[in-house]
Amino acid sequence: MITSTLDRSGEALGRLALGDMSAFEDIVKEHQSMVFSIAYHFLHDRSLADEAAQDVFLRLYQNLASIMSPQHLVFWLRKVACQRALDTARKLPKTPPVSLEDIAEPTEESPDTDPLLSEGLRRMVASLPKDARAVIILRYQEELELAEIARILDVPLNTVKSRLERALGVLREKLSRWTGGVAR
Amino acid sequence: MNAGHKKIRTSALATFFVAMLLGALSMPAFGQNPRLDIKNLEALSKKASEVVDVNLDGPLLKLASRFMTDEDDREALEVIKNLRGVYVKSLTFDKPGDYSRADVEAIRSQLQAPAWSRIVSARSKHEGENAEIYLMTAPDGGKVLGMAIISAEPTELTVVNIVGPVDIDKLSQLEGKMGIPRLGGQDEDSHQQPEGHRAKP
Amino acid sequence: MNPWEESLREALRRKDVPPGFTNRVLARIRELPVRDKRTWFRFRAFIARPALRWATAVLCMAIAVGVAYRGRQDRQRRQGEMARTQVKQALRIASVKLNAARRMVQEVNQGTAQSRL
Repeated sequence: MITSTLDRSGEALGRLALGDMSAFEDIVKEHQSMVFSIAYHFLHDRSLADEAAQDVFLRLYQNLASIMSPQHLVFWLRKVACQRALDTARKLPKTPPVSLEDIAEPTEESPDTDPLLSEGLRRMVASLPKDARAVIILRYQEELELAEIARILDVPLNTVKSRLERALGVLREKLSRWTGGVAR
Repeated sequence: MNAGHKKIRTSALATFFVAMLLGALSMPAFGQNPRLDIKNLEALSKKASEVVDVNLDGPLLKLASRFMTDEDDREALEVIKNLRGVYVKSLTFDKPGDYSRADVEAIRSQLQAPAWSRIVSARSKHEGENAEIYLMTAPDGGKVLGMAIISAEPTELTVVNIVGPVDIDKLSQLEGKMGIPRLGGQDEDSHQQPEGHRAKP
Repeated sequence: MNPWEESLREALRRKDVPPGFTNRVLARIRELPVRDKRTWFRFRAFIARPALRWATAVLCMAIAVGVAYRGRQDRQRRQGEMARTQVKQALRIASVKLNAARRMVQEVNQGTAQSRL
C-alpha cells in the first residue's frame, strides 16, 4: 500500500497521542531529509546542518503537544528549520563571496545532471543574503507556493516576491558569469 | 382677559394649591427621617470591648425574610415584614465612664425633632440605667414610621433604630421566643446566658 | 520552469542525512529531563477532533455558566443566612431593651425606680 508522508506522519502522531514514544523515531525518519536539506542548503556545511537539524527535532520533541496535525507538523518543521539555520548563519563569520576560481569550469553535459553546476548553484545560493536564501530554498527545494513561503517565514507575500526576484536576478548573474553568459 | 379665561385660571390655581397642600400633608415634615445618624458611635466602638453592629436595609431585610422559614422565625417575620431598615449598635465597655453623656447626646439630639415622640423614659438610680423609647408617627398620628431605643448602662450603650411601621407589641412579645431570654423569669425555650454577653462580630 | 530554474531545483534537491542522524537525535532526547507527556498527548489528540472540540467548548461554557450561577446562588444563600442571623440578633436586642424600659416604668409605678413620663 502506498502511503504519503502526511499519512505516515498522521499515523505516527496518533501513536504518540496514545503514548507510544517510539512513534517519534518514525517522525524523525520521515522528515529528517527535509529538515537537514533546508539547513544544509542554507549553511552549505554538513556538520553545521547536522547539528541544526538535530536541534530542530529536539525542539519538536519538546513541543509535540502543540502539533495539531500532519500538515501542521510539516509546516512547523520547515519554519523551525529555517529559523534554526538562520540563527546558526548569523553566528558564523561573514562568508566571503563565491569566487569563480573556486568553481571548476562546467562540462558539456546537460545542466540538470551536472554535479558541478549543482554544486556551484548550491554555493551561490549559500552566498545569497540570508532572507533571500530561505525563499530560494523553500521555493526550489520544497517547491512551495509563494503564499506558503510567506506563511512559513511570516512575511508579506509581496516581500517574498521581491526577495525571490532579487535572488533569482543575483543567481542568474552569477551563473551567467560562471558559464560565460549561457544562463538566461 | 375674558371671564372664561379668568375662570379657568382661577380653577387651575386652586387645583395647584390643593395639590400642594395634599402633597405637604402626605410628605414627611422637615427633618422627618426615621433613620438616625449614629456615625459618632463608630469612633466610640474603638473603645468598646464588645460591639454588636447590625445594619439591615430594605433589600437585606427582604433577603433575610426569604431564609426565615423555620417555625420559630414566623413571629420575627411578622415584625420585619414591612420594615425598611433595622439598625443596632450595642457597645460594651470595660469600665464605667468609658463613654460620655456627650456621646449619647449626639444621638438624643436627633430625637428632639418634632416628628419624634418620646413614649418611655425610665431611669434606675440603683443600677445607673437609663432607657428611652421614641416613636415617629405620621402627621395624622396614625402609622408608625420609625422607632428608636436608647439604653444607657454604666458599661453598655445600646441604640436601636427601626425604620418602618414597627409593631411594638409584637416586638415586645418576641422576648422569650427565638431563644430570647425573658428577663425576670424562666424561659423554657432559651438556654442562653442573660443579656450582656455578646461577642464582637 | 525554465531550464536554469530546473538546474536550481536539481541543485537544491533534498539530501540524505549523514549516517546515524536518527540515533544522534534520539540520544539527545534521552538526555532531556524526563517528562511524561503520554496523558497530555492522549488528551490533546482526543480534544483535537473538530466535533469534539466544539462539544468541549460548548460544555466548558455551560460549566462556566453553571458554576457562576451556582456561585451566585451560594453567595446569595450565605448572605441570606447571615442577614437572617443578624435580623434575629437585632430583634432580640430591641425586644429586650424595649421590655427592660417598660419594666423600669412598671417598677417606678410600684415605687422602686424614678421615672419621668
